[in-house]
Formats: sequence, C-alpha cells, structure tokens
Amino acid sequence: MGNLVDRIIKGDLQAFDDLYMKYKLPVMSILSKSTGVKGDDLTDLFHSAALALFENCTSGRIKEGTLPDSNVRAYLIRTAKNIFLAGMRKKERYGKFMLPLDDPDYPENIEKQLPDQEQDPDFEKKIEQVRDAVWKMEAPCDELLMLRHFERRSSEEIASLKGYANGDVAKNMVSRCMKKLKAYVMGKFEELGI
Amino acid sequence: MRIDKDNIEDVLIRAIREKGAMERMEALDKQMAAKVAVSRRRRTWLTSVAAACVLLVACTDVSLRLHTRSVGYGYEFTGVSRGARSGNIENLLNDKQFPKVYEEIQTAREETLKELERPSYDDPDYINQLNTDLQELDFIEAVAHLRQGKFFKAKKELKTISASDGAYSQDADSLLRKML
Repeated sequence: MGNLVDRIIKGDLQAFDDLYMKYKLPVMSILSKSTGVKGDDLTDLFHSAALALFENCTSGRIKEGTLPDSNVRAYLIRTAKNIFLAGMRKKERYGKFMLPLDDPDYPENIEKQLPDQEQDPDFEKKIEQVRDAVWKMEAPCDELLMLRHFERRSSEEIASLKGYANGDVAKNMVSRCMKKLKAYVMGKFEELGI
Repeated sequence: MRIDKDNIEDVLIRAIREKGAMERMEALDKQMAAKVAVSRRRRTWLTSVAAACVLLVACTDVSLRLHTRSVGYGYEFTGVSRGARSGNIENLLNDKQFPKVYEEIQTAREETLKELERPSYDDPDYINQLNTDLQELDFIEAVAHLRQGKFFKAKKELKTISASDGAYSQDADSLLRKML
C-alpha cells in the first residue's frame, strides 16, 4: 500500500481522502486547544493545512519517502499553526483570514517562515479573478482541467473517460480549455486595469 | 510574487487544484457528518434501549416488592367477618379462590343494596347492620386485592374505607399505615 503521502505524490486521490478522514478530527481537536479557533474557522484552518500538504505533494515540494505516516499529524498541526499565525498577520493587514492561495508567498513562507517578499500591488484582486474564473468554469472545460490538473490523469485516461478518439484529442481539448481560461483571466485583468 | 502572463498558468493550475481539493474535502466532510449522524442515532437508540431496560428492571423490581408486600399485608389480616355470608366469602378467600370471592362479593353487594332500598324491617339497627355488611364487603374486597398483590388498587380502596368513618375504617387505617 505504501504510506499515504507517497501515494498522494503518485496521484492517488483515495490516499488524500484516507489521510483527510484519518487526521481531520484529531488534528482539529489539537488545533482548537492550541489556537482557540472554533467552528467553521477551525474547519477552514484544517482545510488550509490539508490543502497545503496536497499542494506540496503535487508540486513536488515534498519528495517521496520524506514524510512517513507517523509524521503526518505533526506536519498538519505545524502547517495549520503556521497558516494560523500567517493568517493572523494577514488578517491584520487584509481584514480576513487567508487561505494558502491568498498568500502571495505561499507556500514558501509557510515552510521556511520567510518574511513577506515584495508583492504584486494588485495581487488580491488578481487572485480573486483567478479563483472566480476557475470556480465559474463550465463543461467540458471544468471537468477536463480538473481531470488533468487535480486528478493528474494522462491524456489517454482523459480520452478514455470522456470518450474521445485518442489521447491527442484530449490533450488538445485540455490545452484549448487552459488557453481559453488564461485569455479570460488576462482579459479580466485588462478590463479592471490590474 | 507578481501575477502576469508569464506565470498565470501556474496560478491557474494551483487554483484548479485548490478547487478540486476543496470540493473533495467538502464531500468528505458531508460523508463524515453523515457517519457521525448515523453513529449518534445508533448511540441514542442504544441509550434509549438501555434506559428502557433499566426502567423495566426497576419497575419490575418495585412491582415485585409491592406485590410481595401487599400479599404479606393481606395475609397478616385475620378474619373480621360477622355474617354467615361474609364467613363463606372469607373461607373462599383463605382457599385463594379469588374469582369466586369477587363473584360472591358482587352478589352479596347487589342483594344488600336491594334490601336497603326496600328493607324487610324498619328497625334502624337492621338498616345499620345492612350498611355495615356493605362496608365489610368493601373491606374484604380490598383484602382480597391485597392478597392477590394488587397493591395500588387495594391502597385506593383502603383509603376510601378509611376516610368513610365506617365500621372498618380503623382496620383499613391500620393496614394502610403498614403499607405506607
């Protein structure tokens, strides 16, 4: 079976589900005691930590064999605490609790505790547009991009799942969707003058 | 970090992954909540069953104790019958022939009430005697209920007799004191 993090690195989403189900309650219980965060904020905090772990696994920041199951709980707690502290700083600055993607320096500052670097003055507005565009995507692009970039399916797998003639067709479709999404977001940036 | 056309694809991919993970986590949260709800329902059901069992055991225990006590008090009572008819009822009572006891009491009560409506004699002592016979029947009935272990029914009847200030009110009172 292999450990959970290694399976996530290899693209096994069931391993992410297993990890989430296994650690959600124990980690949230500890976080609640140590940070005093409760309710939906506590769930958001755990989501952010799980998201950071997932992002670090999929982006290659966590290497295979470096995070055994015995350390996952501690990793999630440490990450959540860092997000909480960073979030508190950002909250002071932006007036709201930040998710990892909202953090200009994420995940570097979370992992290395770097001070805030020079940032895009319109970063917030741009991220809002990016997120808005991604969450508003329609079929078939939403499914195709999700299959490619979240589930990390190969073009052949996407072709088989979506009933396309072959992997090249699927690859073209995904590429066209990404171009469309990029054009939409860049257009929005231009429109808003950011 | 700046966001521009050079790195927009990376940011979009991260946002797609974020959306995917968020949707998945929300679905998992729903699954977990459903599991918790099922386990909570199961726990509530088990607690209710356990409580019902405890209550049943307690009630059975109380009921058994009351039954034993009433039977005891019923047999502590020694005969009070003064008339031939009530003497016969008391014999049936001692033989534990309860259905016959109640049958005899009912017949005797009806006959006595009829006699009271149209007494054969105008003698006030005779009328008094008929009333006392009725009170005696009520008392024997209460004792029969006690001997059958019908604690609450007997208690109610004895309270009525005790409050009536009749010939058997003291006897009823004495039995009630023991019972309470």
